[in-house]
Amino acid sequence: MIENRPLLNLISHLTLCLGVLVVAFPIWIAFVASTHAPEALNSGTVPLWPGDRFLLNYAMALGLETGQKTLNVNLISMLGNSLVMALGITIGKLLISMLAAYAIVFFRFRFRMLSFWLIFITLMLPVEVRIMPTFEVVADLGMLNSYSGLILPLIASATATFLFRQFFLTVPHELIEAARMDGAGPIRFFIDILLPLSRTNLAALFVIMFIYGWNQYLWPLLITTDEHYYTVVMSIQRMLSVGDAEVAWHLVMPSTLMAMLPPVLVVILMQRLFIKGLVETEK
Amino acid sequence: MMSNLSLANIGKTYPNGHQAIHSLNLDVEPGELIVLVGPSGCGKSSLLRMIAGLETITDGELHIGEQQVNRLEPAQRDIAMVFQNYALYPHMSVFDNMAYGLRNRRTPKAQIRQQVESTAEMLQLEQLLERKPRQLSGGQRQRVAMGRAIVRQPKVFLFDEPLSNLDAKLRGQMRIEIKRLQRRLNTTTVYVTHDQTEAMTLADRLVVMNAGRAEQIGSPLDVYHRPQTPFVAGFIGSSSMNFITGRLDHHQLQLGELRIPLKQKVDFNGEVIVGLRPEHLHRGTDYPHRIELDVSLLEQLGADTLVHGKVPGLDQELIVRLKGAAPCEPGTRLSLGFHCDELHLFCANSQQRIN
Ligand SMILES: Nc1ncnc2c1ncn2[C@@H]1O[C@H](COP(=O)(O)OP(=O)(O)OP(=O)(O)O)[C@@H](O)[C@H]1O
Ligand SMILES: [Mg+2]
Repeated sequence: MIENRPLLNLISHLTLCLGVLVVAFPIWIAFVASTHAPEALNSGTVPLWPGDRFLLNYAMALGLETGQKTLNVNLISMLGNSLVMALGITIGKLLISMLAAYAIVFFRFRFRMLSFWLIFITLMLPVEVRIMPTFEVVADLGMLNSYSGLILPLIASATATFLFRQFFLTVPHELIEAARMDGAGPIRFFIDILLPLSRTNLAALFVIMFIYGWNQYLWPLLITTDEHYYTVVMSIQRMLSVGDAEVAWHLVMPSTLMAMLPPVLVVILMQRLFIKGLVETEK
Repeated sequence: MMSNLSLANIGKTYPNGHQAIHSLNLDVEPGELIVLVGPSGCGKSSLLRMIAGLETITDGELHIGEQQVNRLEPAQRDIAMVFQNYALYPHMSVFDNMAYGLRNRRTPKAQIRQQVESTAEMLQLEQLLERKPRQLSGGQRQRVAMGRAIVRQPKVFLFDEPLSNLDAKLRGQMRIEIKRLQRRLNTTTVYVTHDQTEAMTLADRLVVMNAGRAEQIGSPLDVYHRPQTPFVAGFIGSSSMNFITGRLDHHQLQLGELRIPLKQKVDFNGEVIVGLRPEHLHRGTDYPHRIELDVSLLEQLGADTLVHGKVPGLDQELIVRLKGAAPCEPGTRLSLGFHCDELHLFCANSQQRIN
């Protein structure tokens, strides 16, 4: 349907612009703040245009040698920890949920539906609800302050399992039979046929899961007491709780923006893949 | 490769208790093309899938060559199947689709290339080897699906209604092509269809199935000329056979008012079902038996005309196939003749042929 109604067009564009403004303005402020000296930020008024300390502030936030006093944290190592955790969670989730969905959809075994419903029910139990028992288990296993402790408890995903199940159900039965006739066993079928067909779904879920993993806050806060395992999201909070001293906004803001960068990159890179997948719809 | 296929007392009961195939016996000669034909739901696909190994065989024994294959996986049976919706791997090129089965059998690379290329040439697919299935037309996909089956040089080909997604013209062409390929490769083939024209033109032998049983097994002409049951008689033939109930007494056939002395000796007295094909009623005078038809409807097919009407004294409507344009108008009366050896007689009780 193509309509040409100038007034309607104007109103929709205004609405869209307003929306962009609402979303983009805080980010702009954060960027501006990351380019000013600490005095400018603590004076009570927020500057609206960038200052001249862009390079210096970012170098300081990253802990590079600049001759100035910096925060007592190692941003690079924390970014690294966040990356390990987010990637670990993402890849683990994709692998486990895909295999679980594969078993549930393509194999007949006892308690198949029971397993499915058990997985499905855990959808209703996010980390926060089961956090105490999970902490207990992780502590007993001696996984506090470790990457496995950060990653493993978050790895099972009912959502992804469910989505993969729905996708697998749409794979034509005859495709499976053709593969069987061609001598592909279950593992071959999974690798040669199911995996390539799931490419778009994988890309979309990768983005969602990566952001989920990157943004984890409560869990890393609970189980890490050793600075070597701090993640960037939780440590921004630590930068703010400085007691009576002044918050070092000129360092917090660069850290925040740099913490946003990896998820943004993932979205941009993966988007190309799944848009490509959507355009050349396969039958 | 030539290999025989034998089905002994094959039966299939689905887990829900539905018995889809009842004790079926069939010996397929090496290089023979067998067509399974029958109405929807009669168990054609079930039977084919049991031969393929995609369904378990619940009764009887299946042999391919000398080997009993009841419990073998599909890939171990050395067969290839063409599916109704082709089931090509959407993400693989035509070449990879055809090569996939060979790769899984660890065929050397050079040999795979050579085999795929010669098969592609046979099917005129050389230009398309790099394309994905979605970039092909329906007919081309169909050919790729056949290529995927042929390239493995299996002992047996299985086809499950491979042409039913094509338009009428293409179906006609592909039918001929399949027949030509099968002759050339001389591979034992089982072909499923519900289209009786396809069945008649392709088959060396037909298996007409009804409700999980093989009603008749024979050459197409044999089945056409000597159908064993009214079901087969009605199913085979491009326009369905006319059936009239009557009585047979001492070689005298009584159809309503009509009395026909039979030339052949038939030792049967009692109720019979008489079948007469629409194309076996003729105009003209050199036929020994005559009926009068009150024409009610005409269907003009160009080369032929189908005339519907009633014979005074008979309950059933008759259909007659006459050459050329319509010789009459609806509402008029048409005089038609036939030979009594073109009558098919079936016992009304046992439904078996008696002449
Ligand atoms: N998995 C199954 N479980 C139970 N019954 C089944 C199953 N598959 C098929 N049937 C039944 O077996 C009968 C034969 O089915 P089949 O698919 O062999 O028919 P067909 O002759 O191939 O029909 P069509 O021409 O429509 O393809 C049908 O009555 C069908 O409902
Ligand atoms: Mg079928």
